[in-house]
Amino acid sequence: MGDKEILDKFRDAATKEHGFTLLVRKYQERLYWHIRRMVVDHDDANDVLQNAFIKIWKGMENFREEAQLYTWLYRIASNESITFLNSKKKKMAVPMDGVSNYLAQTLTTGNNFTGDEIQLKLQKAILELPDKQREVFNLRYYDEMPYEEMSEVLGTSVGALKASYHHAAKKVEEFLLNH
Amino acid sequence: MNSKNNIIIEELKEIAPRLADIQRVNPFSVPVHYFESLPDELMQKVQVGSDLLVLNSLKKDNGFDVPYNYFESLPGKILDRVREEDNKPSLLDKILNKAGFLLNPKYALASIALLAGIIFFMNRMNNNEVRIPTLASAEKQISVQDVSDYVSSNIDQFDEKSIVACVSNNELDNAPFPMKAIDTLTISNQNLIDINQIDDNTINEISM
Repeated sequence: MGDKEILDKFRDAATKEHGFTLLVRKYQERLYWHIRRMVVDHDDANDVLQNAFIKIWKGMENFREEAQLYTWLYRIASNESITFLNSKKKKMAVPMDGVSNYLAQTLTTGNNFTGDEIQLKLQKAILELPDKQREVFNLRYYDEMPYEEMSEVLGTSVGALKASYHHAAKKVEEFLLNH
Repeated sequence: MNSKNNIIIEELKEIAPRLADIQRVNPFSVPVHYFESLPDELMQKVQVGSDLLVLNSLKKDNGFDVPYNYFESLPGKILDRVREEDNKPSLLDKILNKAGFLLNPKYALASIALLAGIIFFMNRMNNNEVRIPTLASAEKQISVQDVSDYVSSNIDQFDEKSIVACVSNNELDNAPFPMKAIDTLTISNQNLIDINQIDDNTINEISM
């Protein structure tokens, strides 16, 4: 079902809940994986995803159709992920590398990681990146998002995103070669 | 492989060729049936949220009531209380009022006498607390015999020589205790003071 039909159903009081369920079914996996790559742990990803969808429910009536629905959804999911990571840093009272260490530990201690040794090393390399750069890398590398759409999601210029992705990929490559 | 994917792979090969060689797979997994159950779970949460929205939209009436015209009359009542507080005498005023009889001439003289007595008594108390004996008072209390006994039993020959070295012959003759018994022949001439070198003032001080 197209985004327009989903939005129409949501705006009709009689079909609002059905429209929302359709929206969740359509986008839940994409948003979940975007969040999961940022926060690593499944339970945390579940919490952040549900908070994001509740915000989407509350904000859908004000959504204007000039923007693409899915970039708007991604933006909310992205903001929720960064907010979660920031609050995690405050609670843990540790610097950035402390959080990346914590996330890297979560990779191996949790039972929801199925990758091999190379994949584990790749994830550790990605977790070494600063949050914003990591987000850019994930959106490009895993979600194959065009820079123009990424610009809408993150509110950053295309040029800056290209530079950010370039730096991120270089850092990941260096980590893989040196570890 | 679509064109978008090709563009991204070519871009990555230029930036990080080692990374581009790694197969892109999702290394994470989710609990079984997670995505099947998520929409219903979310719908339940959203419905609870909607109930809260309905609750918030209700008129916020707390269910309690106040007396008629309560809020209209409240500012005036508070102002009256404030004025009343301002007009209340202070603690200092109360003390001065209570102690006002002291200004009466009949009681003033008695009060001054009482105060002077207290000051005098406290002064005496202070003086009695620490009494340091002076040399003059000690001299009055110690007899010549006491000094003579002390010197005989506590001063050895060396001390005697030293004392003799500091005292003139005239003083030795007039000493109140038996200093003549000291063997002056054992004292060297160097230890003796040449009395001619002492000026008149020193002699007067010694003999006083």
